[in-house]
Amino acid sequence: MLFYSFLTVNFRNGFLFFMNIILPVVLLLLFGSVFGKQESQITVAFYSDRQLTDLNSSWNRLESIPTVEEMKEMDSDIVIIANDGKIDVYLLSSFSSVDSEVTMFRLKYASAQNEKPIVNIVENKITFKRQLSDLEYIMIGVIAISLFSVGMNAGVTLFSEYVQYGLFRRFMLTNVNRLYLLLSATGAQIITGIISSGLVIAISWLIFKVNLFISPQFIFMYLFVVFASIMVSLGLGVVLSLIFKKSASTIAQILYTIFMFFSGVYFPITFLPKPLQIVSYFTPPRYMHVLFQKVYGIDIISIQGFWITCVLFIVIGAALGSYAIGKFLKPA
Amino acid sequence: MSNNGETGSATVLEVNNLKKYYPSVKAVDDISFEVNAGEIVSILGPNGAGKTTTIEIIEGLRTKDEGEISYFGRFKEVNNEVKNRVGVCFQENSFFEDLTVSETIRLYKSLYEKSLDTKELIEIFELGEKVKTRIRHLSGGQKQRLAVALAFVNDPDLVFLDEPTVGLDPHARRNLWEIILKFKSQGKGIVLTTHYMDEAQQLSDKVYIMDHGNIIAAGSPQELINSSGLESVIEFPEESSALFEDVIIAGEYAYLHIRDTVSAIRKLLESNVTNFVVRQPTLEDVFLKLTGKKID
Repeated sequence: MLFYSFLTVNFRNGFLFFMNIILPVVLLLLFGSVFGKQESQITVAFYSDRQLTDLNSSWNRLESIPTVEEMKEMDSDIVIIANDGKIDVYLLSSFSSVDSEVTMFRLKYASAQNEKPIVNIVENKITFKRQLSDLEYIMIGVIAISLFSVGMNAGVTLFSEYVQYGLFRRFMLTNVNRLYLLLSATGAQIITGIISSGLVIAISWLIFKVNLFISPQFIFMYLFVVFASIMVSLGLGVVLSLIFKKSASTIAQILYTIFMFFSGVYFPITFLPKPLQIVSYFTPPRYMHVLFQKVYGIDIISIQGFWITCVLFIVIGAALGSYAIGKFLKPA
Repeated sequence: MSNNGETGSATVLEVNNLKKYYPSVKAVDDISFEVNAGEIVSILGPNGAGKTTTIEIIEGLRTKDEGEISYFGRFKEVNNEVKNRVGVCFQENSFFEDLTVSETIRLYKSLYEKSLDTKELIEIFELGEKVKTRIRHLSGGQKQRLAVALAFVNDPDLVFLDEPTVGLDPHARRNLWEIILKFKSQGKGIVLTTHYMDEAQQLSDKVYIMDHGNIIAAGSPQELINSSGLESVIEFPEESSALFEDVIIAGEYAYLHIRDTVSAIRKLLESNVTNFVVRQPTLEDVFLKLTGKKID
């Protein structure tokens, strides 16, 4: 029931709902509309044994069938090889929805002056080290910063506002124990975080055609990163509450704004002046962003580094949360 | 002598020589009292008398320096069983403002091993119409009723009610008195802190008056009135207080506690003071006499 209460409050409280759900979507739309245009221009390279007409001018015609190694060197999202009535589609970018491009090509190929009908269309995925597009980078940043917001605001609400309003004093008179309280609070934030990031992923796909859906083999990693992100952010909220007490909420909003711009989640840190780049090393969203990139198959961190960071985040959050709950559930 | 059984006269709370000293003040200075099952005990005192500190120590919200507290004749500290059997309504209550009344009751029920039926509680405290209303949309009086309801949510044997009728209109106050008396008749021991003297007088079996961390008077309301030596009280405007030597001034009024009522009235009339009231002493007069202050 305590878990249900925390979760319900997250969705009924106007401020928390705005920070946890609305703001990430607003940021997504804002940055998506700025960077989305370039992403909608999916680059296509194709080889066709038929003469095709009226193709998009940005499509790049290949004179011969490339090898896989040659494809990896190409700066294209997809490579389409149409030969002898068979179409092979090579997806070089796992983040873009290419259905419309493939459909358009198929129609052009089928309607060309020809001898044979289309026999088959085969989609091939080529996996190799790749860079994120600006939009993909930002969308993942939106997820990281939204989870940061969910966790930090939970910490501040629990240990600053609820303590201030006396709710913890009331809990002290019941049999609630600190582990149950901590698990209920963090559990509610994790569900909120999953919903918030799920919304970002869905809107990214629906509006900007950026495919941020998690591959099944990465689901566990994704859930672990959500948990770790919430815990470390909650820990930061606890620290703010212990230091700033009644003004913790205001400080949290200031920090959120600073982190948004200086953690490098909305643009690469190298864009920042050198002194400010140092600031980014002290911002949790920076590391959360890195962890999420790993979930999306970007080798920005080793797998050992990934798990160590996650566990460290969880330990920090659990220790701080447990300390704060113990402190506030102790007689004065 | 305590009766440690679970019968009607069992001692549910026994406080002996309780002390809590802060560097600059003796907040609670060696006080002792007890509460029996089926009894309402009021603790009265001016601001800073030590009432809240005393209650918070007993509830387990503060540590004590010295003394012994015995709960239900068995427990010397606030353990889980004590928590299960104690209900509390703070003076200032806080809730999850975005939960509804029924969700809030269910939440608190879930934090105890035993509880009263939600519907029954809602019915008793007349919260039926607001059961699906979020707390933030309740009036002050409705919130107060909910806070008192939550003090009884775990069907406690010992209940602490700190200013339970603050913010209620006179009708709602009377209703709440009836509810409190009903719970008392079920054998619950109730510790009441109130600044409404009529409330203490109406509800209490025993009253403890505290000042400067000490209990300065104890007894039933009638015993306190009888033992105060007050026969009648004359209440008149403060600007005429110079007419008498032993008056107590509280706000715009002066209070004269006197045996020779006739001569005092004559003196007032001779001085052209006609807006005075002569009445029987109340618990408030006892309080005023003992502390020299009207309760805030």
